[in-house]
Parts: sequence; C-alpha cells; structure tokens
Amino acid sequence: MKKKISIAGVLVFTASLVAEEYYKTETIPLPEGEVMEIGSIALLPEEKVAIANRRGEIWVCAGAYGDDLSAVTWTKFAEGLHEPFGMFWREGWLYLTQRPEVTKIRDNDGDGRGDEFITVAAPWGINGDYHEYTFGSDPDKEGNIWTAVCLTGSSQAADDSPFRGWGFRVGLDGEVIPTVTGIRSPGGIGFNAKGDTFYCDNQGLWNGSSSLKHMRVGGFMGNPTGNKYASLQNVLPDPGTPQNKSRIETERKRIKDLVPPAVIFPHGLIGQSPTGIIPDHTGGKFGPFAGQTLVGEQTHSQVQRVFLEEINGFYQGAVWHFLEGYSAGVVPLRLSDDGTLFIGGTNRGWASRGGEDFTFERTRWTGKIPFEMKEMPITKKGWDLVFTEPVDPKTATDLSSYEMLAWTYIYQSGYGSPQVDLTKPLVTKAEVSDDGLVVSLTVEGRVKGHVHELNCSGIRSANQRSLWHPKCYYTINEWCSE
Amino acid sequence: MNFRKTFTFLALYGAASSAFAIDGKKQYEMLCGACHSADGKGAGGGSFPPLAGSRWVKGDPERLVQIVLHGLEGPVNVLDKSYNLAMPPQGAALTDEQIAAITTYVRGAWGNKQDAITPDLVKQARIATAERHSMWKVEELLKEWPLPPKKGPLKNLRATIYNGKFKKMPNFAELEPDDLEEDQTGFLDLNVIDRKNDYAVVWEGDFTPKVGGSHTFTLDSDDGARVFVNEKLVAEIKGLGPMGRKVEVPVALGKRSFRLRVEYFQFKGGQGLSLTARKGEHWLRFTKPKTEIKPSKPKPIPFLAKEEARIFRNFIKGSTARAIGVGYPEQVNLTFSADQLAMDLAWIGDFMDAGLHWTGRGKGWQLPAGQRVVNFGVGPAFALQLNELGAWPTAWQPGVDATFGGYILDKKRRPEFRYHVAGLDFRDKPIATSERELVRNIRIKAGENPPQDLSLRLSGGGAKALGSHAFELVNGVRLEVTKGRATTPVVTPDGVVLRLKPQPGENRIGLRYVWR
Repeated sequence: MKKKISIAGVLVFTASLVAEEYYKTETIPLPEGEVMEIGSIALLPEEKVAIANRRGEIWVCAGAYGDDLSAVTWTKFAEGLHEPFGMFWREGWLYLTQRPEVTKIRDNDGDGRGDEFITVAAPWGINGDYHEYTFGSDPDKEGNIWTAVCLTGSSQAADDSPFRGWGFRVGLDGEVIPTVTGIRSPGGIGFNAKGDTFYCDNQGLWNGSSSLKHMRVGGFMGNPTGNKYASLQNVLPDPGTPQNKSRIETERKRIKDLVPPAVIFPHGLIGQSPTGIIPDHTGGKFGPFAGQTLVGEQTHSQVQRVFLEEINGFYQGAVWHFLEGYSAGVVPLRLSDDGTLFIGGTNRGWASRGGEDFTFERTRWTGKIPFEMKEMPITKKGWDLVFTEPVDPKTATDLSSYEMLAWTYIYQSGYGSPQVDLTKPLVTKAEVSDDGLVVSLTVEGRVKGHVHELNCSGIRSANQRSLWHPKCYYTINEWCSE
Repeated sequence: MNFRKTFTFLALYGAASSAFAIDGKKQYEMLCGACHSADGKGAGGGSFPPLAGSRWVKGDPERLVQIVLHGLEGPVNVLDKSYNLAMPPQGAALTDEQIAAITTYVRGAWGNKQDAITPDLVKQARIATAERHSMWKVEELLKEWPLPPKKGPLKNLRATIYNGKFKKMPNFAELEPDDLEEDQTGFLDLNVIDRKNDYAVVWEGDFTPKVGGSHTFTLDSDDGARVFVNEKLVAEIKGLGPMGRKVEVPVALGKRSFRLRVEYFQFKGGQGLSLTARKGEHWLRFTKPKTEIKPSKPKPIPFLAKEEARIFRNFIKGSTARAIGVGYPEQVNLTFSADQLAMDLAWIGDFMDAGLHWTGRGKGWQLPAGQRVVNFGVGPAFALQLNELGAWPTAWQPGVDATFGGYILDKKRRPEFRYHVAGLDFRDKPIATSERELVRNIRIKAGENPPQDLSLRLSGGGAKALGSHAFELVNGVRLEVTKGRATTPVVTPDGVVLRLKPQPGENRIGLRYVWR
C-alpha cells in the first residue's frame, strides 16, 4: 500500500541557528494521516529506511537520503506487532525486538509486505503491564541481539513475569544467554565503537540519575528488584542486594558484580530520559567525533555526545550536550555510513520539549567544525582535554577559565536522588600541548564515584571562538595509574 | 598536602545554592517543563495536564507538595479534561528547597495566585508520609487534601431573598427584601439559601465569556425563573412546575463583561435551578454541575478487517499478554495466545478498538469489539492427560515442552500459526468461511514414537455433546470435529478434550465453529 505523503512540514529546520552552522536537521515527511510514533529505525539495502512505530507497524521509506525530501515515498510493510523497540536488517530479514519476543520478518512472495513472522526467542515474561517494555540491539560481533528487559511497572518484578530487569543475548538462531541483572527502566540499547554493549537506564529506583550503563557480561546493573528470578536459571548467580541509602562506590566493595554507571547523565542538566545508543562509525563523515557514542534523549528532545574509556577494566567517561531542537521525544537513532543521522521521536505517554506527537528527522554535518572539547581522557593528575581545534594559550592556561563541581547520588530504593556529597575540585594547572590541541589539567579534589562537572566557558580557540558546549560531566569510577 | 584550602565539602546541593535562592522558574522549566510545558498549559496541545488555572495547585499547599513527593498515577480530571498517565515521584530526587521553589513558582505563575510554599512545609509533608512507597491515586489524595471548591463564572454576585407564597414571578419592585447575601462562590446556588419553601431570589452578578459569539443559554427550574443579560430578558420558565421544562435560547455575547440577573421563585416541595451558556467547547456553568465530571474513556480507534485479514497484538481481555488478535473480513475474529498455544477467544462482528492501547501510555486490557465472544478456556491448549476426566491444568505441565514459532501470512493475510509441543510440529490455520463460521485446520508432524498421551483442549467449560463429534459451546456456538476423528473427543467440566494419538508423519485435525 503506497501512501501519499504530506508536503507540509518539509524542510522544517528545527535546530537552533548556532547548531545549524555545524549540523543541519530536516524533517522527513511521514505518510499523511498516519500516527508514526517511531520506536525503531533500520537501514535497508538500496537506500531504504524502515521504521517501526509504537502502534506496531513497520513502514519502509524510499528517498530519505535524497535532496528533495518532499519526494519520499512510504510503503507499509507490516502491522500488528506489539510496541517494538529495536530493529535491524540482516540477509533479507528484519529482526525486531517487540514487547513479547524477538521476531524476524521477511517478505517471501515479493509483494513488498512481510508475510513470515518467525519467533526467534521469547525468554522473558509479560503479564499485561504496559511498562514491561523490552529494547533490543543490533547483532554484536558474535551475532547476538542484546535485550534489556524493563521491570514490571518500572518498579516491580511480577511473579508471573519472569526475568523483568534482566538482559539477555539472543542468537539469531534463537539461543538465549542470560547476560546481566539489575536493570530498571531501559530507554535504549546499543554499542560503542569498540562493539561493547551499553543501555540507558532511567532515573528512578536505585538510579539516582539516569546513566549510560555498560552491560558487562555477568554484571549487576544496580537495581536488585529482578534478582528474585536468579533461581529460575543456572547461568548467573543472584548478585546480592545492595544496602539502601548508600553510594555506588561503597556498594561496589560489597557486591562484586555491581557495574558502576559508565557515564552519569545528571538529571535535568543532561536530559531526563536517555534513549537510543549508537557509535559514530562514519570515520569523520558526521563531523569530528568519529569513534564516540551518541545517545538520544526523549524528554529534552536531544542527542548527547559521549566519550568513553576503559580504566582498570571498567568504563567511564564524559557527556556533552550535542544536538537539540528535535520536534518530539527522541527515541531511536540510526547513523548511516554516509553520515546521515536518522532520528525517530514520540511523545505519547511521555511528553518532550519538542511538542509534536511524533517525528522523523535527519541530521547531517555541514562540514564546518565546531570548537569543542572532543575527548577527555583521565590522567593520573587530572584530565587531558582534547579540542577540535587549537586553543588560545592565554585563555587555556588561565586557571579562571575552568570551574568544577563534583557530586554523587544516593544509591537507594527511592525514586532518584538529589545531588549529594558536593565538592569543588580545583584546577591548579593547565598546560597546552605544542600543537595547541590538548590541555593537560592538574586537578585537586577529584572524587572516585562522583560525576565531575567541568565548565570551560573561559577558553577561546586560537582564532578566538567560544566553545559550542563549554560544559561536560565526567564520571570517575576508577583512577588512572599512568 | 595542602588539602583544606582547595577542597571543600558541602553538605547538600541545597546548602550549596543557599547563597543564591533556587530559581523555581528555572528548575520548573528544566525538570517539569517537558510535560507541563513552560507556559503551564500542558505539553502536546493538552495531551498532558495543565497547571495554569488548575484547582490541583490551589488551596491547601500540601496536596501539590504530596504529588511532587510521591507522584500521581491513574485517571485524573484537570480543568474538565481527563488524563490517565503517571507522574513519577520526585521526593527522593529533589531537596525540600527545590520542591518549595518549584511549587511556589507553579502557585504564582500563569495567573495562579496562591501562597508560597516553604521548605519547612515540604519537610513536614515528607515526614508525615515517610512510610509511603507508592504513587498517590486521586481518591486517596483527595480524601486527605480535597480540591478547593470550583468557582463559578459570576463576579460581584449578590443574592436578594424575598419571603412570600409565590405561584408566579412577583414584581420585585413592590417587595421588601428579607435578606441580602454576598456570594463568593460565583455560582447561583440554592443550597446557600436557608429556606426551602415560599421564597423568591434575585441574583445579580457579572460574567465574561471566554469567547465571543452566539452562546446557547439553557435554563431549567422548579418553580419559575427568568434570565436577563444586560437587563434584557433572554429566557423564562413561567409558573409552578418541576425541573424538565428546559428552554434553550441563543444569545449573542462578546468577549467582555456582561451583567446577569436571574429571578427565581419557589413555592412548595421540590426546588431546582440550572443555567448554563455554551459555545462549542466553552461552557459557562452558572449553576453547579450536580456531580464532578468523570474521567472519560479514550476515544475509540476502530481496528477493523475489511478487505483482508489483520493482526492486532496487544493485551486483549480474555486472552493472555501474548495474545495475537486476528480479524477476518468475514467479520469473524479470534485471539491466538502465544503463551498457551491456544485459540482462546473467538467472536463475530467488529474486530478490535485500539483506542485504549494507542492513547496515552496504553494501560489495560481491551475487550474484543464484536459480539458473542466465546472463551475457549484459560490455560494451555495441550496437556499430558493420564485421566481424561481430570481437571485441565491452568499452567503448562513440567513435562510438556512447548514453544511458539510465529506465523506465516497467506495472500489474504491470514496467519498460519506454528508451534512445537512435546516434540510435535504444529501448523494451525484458522480461516473464516462466512460471517458465522470459522474453520481451523491443524496439521501435526510427528517423528518416530510420537507421544500418545497428549491431549488438545477444544473449548472451555460448559460444553454439551451433540453426538460423537459435535458440541454446543456457550453463546450459541457449535463446534464440530471434521477431521482427526480417530479418537472421540470427551466433554469434561473444563471443556471438550481431544486425545491426539498422532501417528508418525503427518496428522490432520479439522475443526468448525459455527455461530448459530
């Protein structure tokens, strides 16, 4: 069934003018009269893009890469799926993680519509609670789909709904491996450039703030509600119950499998509901941040940028604001090889700053490099700030260009946490590298387990530009020994 | 190490920011604005509850503080519109100072004019409900902290009361008033008048319509009443009589202040007065509505099968969470439960209403949209039965390995369900053959030595045998076993049970369901 598309809303530039200098966002017209609350995006051959919406339909878009977006066409590929969140194409099949199961779908008779709906695996229970969502990834290096299974009502683990709060790997052949425990309410799942798996967990019970969490195999993600199902399988042990009203850093010493959040997104300051996760694998086609991780944000209609590093076997790193102004709550992200970032959005049930009910947009780099902190590797004495272009040595060595605050959150069974244990680390030295691209900071008063806010609004580039985003938030889980 | 100079511990964010008062507006816009919107009108053009002008933020400040502390879940009416969402609890995430700043801002912004809320009030509210670990539901919250009474549309309202045995509207100029009441409620309210018989009242007050244009005034009274707008008579109910003598008249109004005068007399017995003015969605309710408006149900979104079969997967009442609804253009519909591997519901008429699941968060279970729903029983479709007359199990027996394999659609989009039970491979294809008939073909592929004690349940309880292979089910539906008649189905209290006794290779079962 082909659908006429609505011309209204073509080429609506939603991002702010400043952002548009570096990244240009355009609205992709959706089939007229359809409610397209997008939860999944997959790239198909021949420059087609498939979306799955929360009404359980899959649509295929042709022309989403084109110059003239008013020429896009949409074809309905399938319907009757149950709130899918996660879809990819592989060898003629669309693999889909929907509420009840992982499914693969293909068009066997060539009429453009899916007719085979094969259940790959259904290792988790559902009981009719609307909040029992499941998010699924692309296949990992070994060909496994990773799934993150939300708690019942985002706070409970119903007896008739086993494995809420667990993460599974699902082989394309249907093999199921219990992989992590301790999930609360995921908003998205995906990989970093190295291919390790992460998911976003939302502020709430045992999550002081939302964060990007590494799904380390066998790891406990921090919320003990689903631990009760450990007796139903023999792969993962019950990780144990953390002490209420404690700190992650304290409980890591008691609970050996507790994986600290890799990067905390301070509630309100960096969004409120982080979602889809994708690496920038384009090698520079999407701007100067190749190899970094992009994370969607539903409530604030944004995309954040994350620098990740592994220290002593644990992930940690920094998050910056990156793209904003999308028309609805951003859920799935998909970056094509040519550097087109596709964004899907929905506001139903959860509102966002972008006031539309749903949206489909694409963002491309304009070719102009913003002056930004690009990376922020931790060092023995502080951090190295790696910039996208040389800094002005005068402002970069001036210690008043840097302001820091650090805090953590109460690790508790209550819903979220205020910022606590506030400290004020001090930048005591700032040295600029010969090429001007790296500033080595010496910082006194860093705290393990804290998120560190760094504000470098005083820094200018060599040609006196201000930073596009002068603030970032680095979570320290481990000390760097070199 | 020179530690103390450079490194300061501060107790809490609140303490850190006490030097600068927390900016309630900024905090509100950052933390609450996405849903309630920066202008307080609710995000998404009214998909989320407004705070501007809402009674929920007015009156006793603790109600608002409690909602912020513990959240609010389920249906709620705000400014005459119902919402069914969940506001997550913020008590553990925000300090007393933050909550005080945000709620104070909300109570003073966008035309709201309520007292500020102090951090101490938040602290006390927190202590008072420290044992609470779930979100508030509207009823329990309002039991403790009721909403302030709704204000009527009338300003400068005065009621002048006259005594007398009136059987028709008196000439008030000739009468001496008995009592005069200044009314703050803004409503024409008979309840505030301290008598039941033998009196008359004249109300006078001002109102300003929200929109200009022709409004429909609707007047009803027991006994008589007259309505004047800017001293012009617009509606009248004469003489003695009960409610139900309603009159409707159009009145042209502008978006400015008007003077309303209502005359009313009551003789004996029942009394009543109702006056509204309406233009489209905009109501002026001059008298109090009898009851609070109930939260409305989501708008229906019909999901119907017209040209071809359609699939609807969601929570369908009567089936299980993994229900797969199938609607056929013949107007016969069913659910197949991927949990129970059972066709567990079938009905005729309309297929489904998707409104419940496609509105808001989509909470709850939706009943089939059509009629004559037959429930084929709760529990798995298959069981190993040693005694055919024993109770049918309500959960899969440990020895029965059962997996759902998906479905294949034919050219008319009709699914063939695939599943595996106890080593047997099933292909199960229901087809509507008319608007009263459903035929189900089940093919079973068995290996060597297939299990001989596996049974398939064909219906729920209440079935009656009509001969050896036909049965009367509930709702006037008849079931016939048309293929696979090697064994005879047995009627048990839990339904019709067919022992399969499959042979190696392919086995077939044919079933026909007829709505008579």
